[in-house]
Amino acid sequence: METSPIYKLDGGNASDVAQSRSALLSNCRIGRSPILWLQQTWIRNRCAADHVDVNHCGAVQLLLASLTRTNSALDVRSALITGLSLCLLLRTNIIWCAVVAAAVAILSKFVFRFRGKHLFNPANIGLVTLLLAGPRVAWCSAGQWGSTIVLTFFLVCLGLLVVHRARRADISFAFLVGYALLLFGRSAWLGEPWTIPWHRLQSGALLLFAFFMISDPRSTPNSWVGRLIFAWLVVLGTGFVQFGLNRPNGLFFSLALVSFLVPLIDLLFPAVRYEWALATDTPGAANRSISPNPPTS
Amino acid sequence: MTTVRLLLCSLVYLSSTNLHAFCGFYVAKADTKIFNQASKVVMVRDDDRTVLTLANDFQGDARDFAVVIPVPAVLEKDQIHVGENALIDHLDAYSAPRLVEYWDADPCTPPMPSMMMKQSAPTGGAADGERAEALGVKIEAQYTVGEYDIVILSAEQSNGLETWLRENGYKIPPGASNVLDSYIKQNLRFFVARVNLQEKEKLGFTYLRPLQMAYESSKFMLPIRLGTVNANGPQELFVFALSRQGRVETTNYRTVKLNSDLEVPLFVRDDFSHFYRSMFDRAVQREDMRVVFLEYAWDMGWCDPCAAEPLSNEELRKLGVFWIEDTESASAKAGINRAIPRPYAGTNVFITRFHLRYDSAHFPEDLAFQQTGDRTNFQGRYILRHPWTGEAKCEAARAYLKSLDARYRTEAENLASLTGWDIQEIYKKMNFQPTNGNKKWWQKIWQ
Repeated sequence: METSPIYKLDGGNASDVAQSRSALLSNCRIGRSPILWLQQTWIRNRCAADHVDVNHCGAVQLLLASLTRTNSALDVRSALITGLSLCLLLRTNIIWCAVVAAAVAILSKFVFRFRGKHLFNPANIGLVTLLLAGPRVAWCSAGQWGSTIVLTFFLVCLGLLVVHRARRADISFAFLVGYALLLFGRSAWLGEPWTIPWHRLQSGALLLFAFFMISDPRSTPNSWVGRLIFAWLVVLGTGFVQFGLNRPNGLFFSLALVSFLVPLIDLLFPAVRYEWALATDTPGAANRSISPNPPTS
Repeated sequence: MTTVRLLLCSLVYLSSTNLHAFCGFYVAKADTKIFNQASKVVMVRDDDRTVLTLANDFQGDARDFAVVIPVPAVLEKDQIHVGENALIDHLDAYSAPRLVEYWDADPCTPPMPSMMMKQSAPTGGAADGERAEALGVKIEAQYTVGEYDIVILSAEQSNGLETWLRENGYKIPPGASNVLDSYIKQNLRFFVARVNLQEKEKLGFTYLRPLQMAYESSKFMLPIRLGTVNANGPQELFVFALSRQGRVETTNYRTVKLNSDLEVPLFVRDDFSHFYRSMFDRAVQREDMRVVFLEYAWDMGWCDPCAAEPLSNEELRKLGVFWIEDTESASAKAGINRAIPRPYAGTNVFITRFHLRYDSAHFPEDLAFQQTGDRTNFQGRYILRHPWTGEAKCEAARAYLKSLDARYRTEAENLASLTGWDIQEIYKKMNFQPTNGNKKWWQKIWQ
């Protein structure tokens, strides 16, 4: 039978993915990071485009870092998170689209900067760029995660672990609370049963967004007040896209749009800027390398 | 109360001739008729344009038939049409899960390369406009199309709408009010249709033909909540989505491919429908009735093997595939003759067939869809393999006969796993006794 290749839906080349994984391990020295574990458990049976995303993010990061003479050894880890987020969210039948998404994501970190911060979350802008090109190019299967309690619980725990290290749990929780209020409030107004908003909240893509995307410390406001405002603006934007325009993927479009307001929010609510810390080469240091540092600029 | 069924039809493009038996020789199909009280809906969708075809296999008195369907816009008379049941039957047959069979070759020869809402006796007659206004209900439009009387309503609140419907002879089940209210607040209109007996008699049809409607809206969804209000247990729904770019999927429920491409014992041929029903029951049970099953996803230009021929351009157009004309004129300009069958040729119509069993507990919200760029073909396909029965004259033949035991066991295990049937019963029906079938795994180690 003549079939076209599908990246993201079916089984892929496990050995390639394994190679990719080991390469990343040695390059990034992230040890038993929960993110790597996520990759191992979730992506193992997925396709070639996954490691295209992951490796390409890393490659673009290193290339641009060397071109701009930036010390970005640690940012490879950031590229890894970006690549993994794209793996989990973006679906395409065209392999070069996965490459484009990864390139756009990492390029955005070097091109769209304001006062030393990234304007966009890299994975988000890569995803949104491809989604804007239409379903022929790429799509996001937010509903394909299912909504079992087990998966929800698993991702919440995993997400909590990661955001705790990045000290950005406030924005994740502010967003989730705001989004839950939006869903329950709308259902109360429409007279719908509570099972409807509850069903909408049990989404793996939502938790992934809340804990791995909107919580990015390099593209969110510096002050906690600013972050609360930012999170709730994203909630409102999501509601507008989802219920006003009746379009899917409201979370991602809303985050991309609200990101334009971050410089303004930072101006109104100034605070010290977040920096990723550089890891030392001492054994065991790799696992402690994500932590807030005193501002360097 | 009588149950009314809904059918939505999708689009198909390009006909083709019989194809090679590359994926096995087609034996039987399991169409929607094997499921009692199954609703069928065909959705043709591209950009924001939608054409729905709602067919029903309503068996009762035509005067008891009525549907109330939330629609996103006020439809003009031209946007409503009465279609043909044959089109939906054809689409159903084309996309149905199928049984195929192969015959083993002589091992001694080297291988060759190769919403219904039911309603009770309507009182007839159009509603009084003033009364409707007093109830906060606005009759946006009123048409007779074919054998149907159609009213498009908007309302300010569900109580008024419910009262209007009751006063006009529609039986509204308890609990519908809340659902109607949420649709009213979302600014949806209500498409209400019932049979005009005089017109039906005049037209001479003894059955009800499918209703079709075309509209433009950003909402790519199918309202199922009204259908759950009055349901007697879970309901069966088939959705045939016809799109231009690729597979359609649900965005708020998981879409799961049905188990497919498995070898099953030969006796399944005699009762494929029973097998398929049992298999679907078990699949629903495994997924806790929380997923939408994908039964077929294929480019409408061809099939392999074909449970029925692909629909012709004419049939597709009748189902609402509005972009076919453009394609044909473009082809004509380019000098391409589409009358020439093109086996395996891709077209710009892709069908996705969904099958779900739902109730309000497991499917609390309406189905929302999105179109994807995925054109990977998938079909529900089950395989019969006839063994070679010649005389074993060579070593290969002896090895082949020896291997049959393991194959039969696998087929039986596949069937037991798919359907939940007792494996001993399956062995009995196969007339097969596995040599090690009843032994524990450790008993087989040192045999």
